[in-house]
Amino acid sequence: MDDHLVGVLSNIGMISFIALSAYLLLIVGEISFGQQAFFAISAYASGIATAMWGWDFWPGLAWGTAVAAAAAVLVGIPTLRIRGLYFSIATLAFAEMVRLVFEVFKYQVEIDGEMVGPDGSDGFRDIRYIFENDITAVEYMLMIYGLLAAVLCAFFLLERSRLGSIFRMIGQDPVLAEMQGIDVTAYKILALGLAGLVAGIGGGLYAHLTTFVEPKIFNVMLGVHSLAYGLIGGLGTAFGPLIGVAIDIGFLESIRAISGYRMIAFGGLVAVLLIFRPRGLLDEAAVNWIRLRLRRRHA
Amino acid sequence: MLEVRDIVTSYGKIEALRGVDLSVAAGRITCLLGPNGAGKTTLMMTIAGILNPSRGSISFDGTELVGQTPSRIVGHGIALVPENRLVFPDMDVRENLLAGAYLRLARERAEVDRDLDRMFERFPRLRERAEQNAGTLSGGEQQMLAVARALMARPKLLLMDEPSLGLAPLMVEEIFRIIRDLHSDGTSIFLVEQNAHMALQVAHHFFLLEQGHVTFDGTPGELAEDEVIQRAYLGSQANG
Repeated sequence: MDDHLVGVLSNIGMISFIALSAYLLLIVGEISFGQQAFFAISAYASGIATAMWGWDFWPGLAWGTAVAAAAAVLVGIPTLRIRGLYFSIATLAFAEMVRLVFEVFKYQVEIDGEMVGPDGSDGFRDIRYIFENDITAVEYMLMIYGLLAAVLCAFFLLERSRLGSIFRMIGQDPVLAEMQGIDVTAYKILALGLAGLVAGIGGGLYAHLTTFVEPKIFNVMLGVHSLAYGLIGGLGTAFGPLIGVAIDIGFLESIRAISGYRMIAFGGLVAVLLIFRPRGLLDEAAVNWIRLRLRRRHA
Repeated sequence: MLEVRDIVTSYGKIEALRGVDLSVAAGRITCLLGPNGAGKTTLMMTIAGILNPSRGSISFDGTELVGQTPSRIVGHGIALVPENRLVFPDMDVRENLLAGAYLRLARERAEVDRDLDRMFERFPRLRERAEQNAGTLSGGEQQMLAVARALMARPKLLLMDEPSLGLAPLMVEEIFRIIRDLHSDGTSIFLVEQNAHMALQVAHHFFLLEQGHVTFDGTPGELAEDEVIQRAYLGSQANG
């Protein structure tokens, strides 16, 4: 397999996690501009675990993911009590805070005569677990897609579960949901925790693929993009945000001839879709239509 | 059963309720009449816990409701059929009904299923539309669905905010028939209505709310119907 293609596909896979995490919050009717914070927290935490503490990859990834989810719950407790725009603004502020903390965060240890660990704005080098353990690019890509498939399965189960219908009720009308006896704030905090977890998986995978993370990667554009993926691809199914990622990373960013125009094309695409398909390509109506066609074919 | 004492609820600096006192008796249909902007919906939202009063108390069978969240208040046995905010539009009729039984679903699934069947018997139109998205129902059907959903919570007290608003005359008759049925099944009902004529036929007791105050408290017949209607639509200033 061509190296460039493997790289592009791996990127699509990793960014899909953060897109799914923003999508989960859109289901409960909250807009977050700060999912990149949880991506970043897990990238650092899992990198620290494998490169500095000598942990294996899987426990390291699980640790990073858990830290990201815990951070999300802690952010949610004060911010999700307030309705309206405040949550969006708070997530943006939190994500910038996290980025600025990583700009000054220094924590290094000496390993084999070299200093390893986060070094403020110079970033965090040598997260070399997959190279030291001879995991090839293709194998790592398969690991990414294995995890992505697992997360997608979880989303589909969620959409059919009681928890999923509670999330949808909250997304459609939080006041009416509260009147049915649902503790809306608690479920929103849970949704943010799960979203932090999903973003965390992506962040941990990202750190180990690139071997190097620096604070400026996790700027607000990453968060805005992950939000836009759901809006482009559609809010009717978890496949929606993946389509958004595939269009942006797979097409606009990776084809050299057009990558210079990526932001222009991406912004235009968002604007056009918001006018003509405000809930994305695969919106609820499109998903119902597809389901109906599939059912008819089977019948 | 429900005691509202000196309730003041404000939107910013504007006081919509300026010290409301009223009580709702168990097993009765109580009706709240009043002109637009008198604060009727505000009172319903305050009882349901969606708005927080700045003063006063609301007690329900001895439990203080002020300061509790809407979900706790539902748990105490009060269900609200809100005005203009009837259904979850992108969920089907069955899912909407199950949403009403949210607090009971985990513990008593079999009971809930039986109640669901009972609702479909009582509202045959809802059975026909069980798999249809609630947003595609007509106004009257959505109102029925909202009532049925509230009943799925098995409330001790059902609050209804203008259930006949915007409905065709036949549908209004139907809604009032349902209200009578519910009462004869033992549900206590507290109803906000603009349709004073219909309301006075079913209510055992009624209150007039004008500009944030209760200005009349009595039974139908104590006040001539034309006077009630005048005050309910126009407020008492219109008399002078």
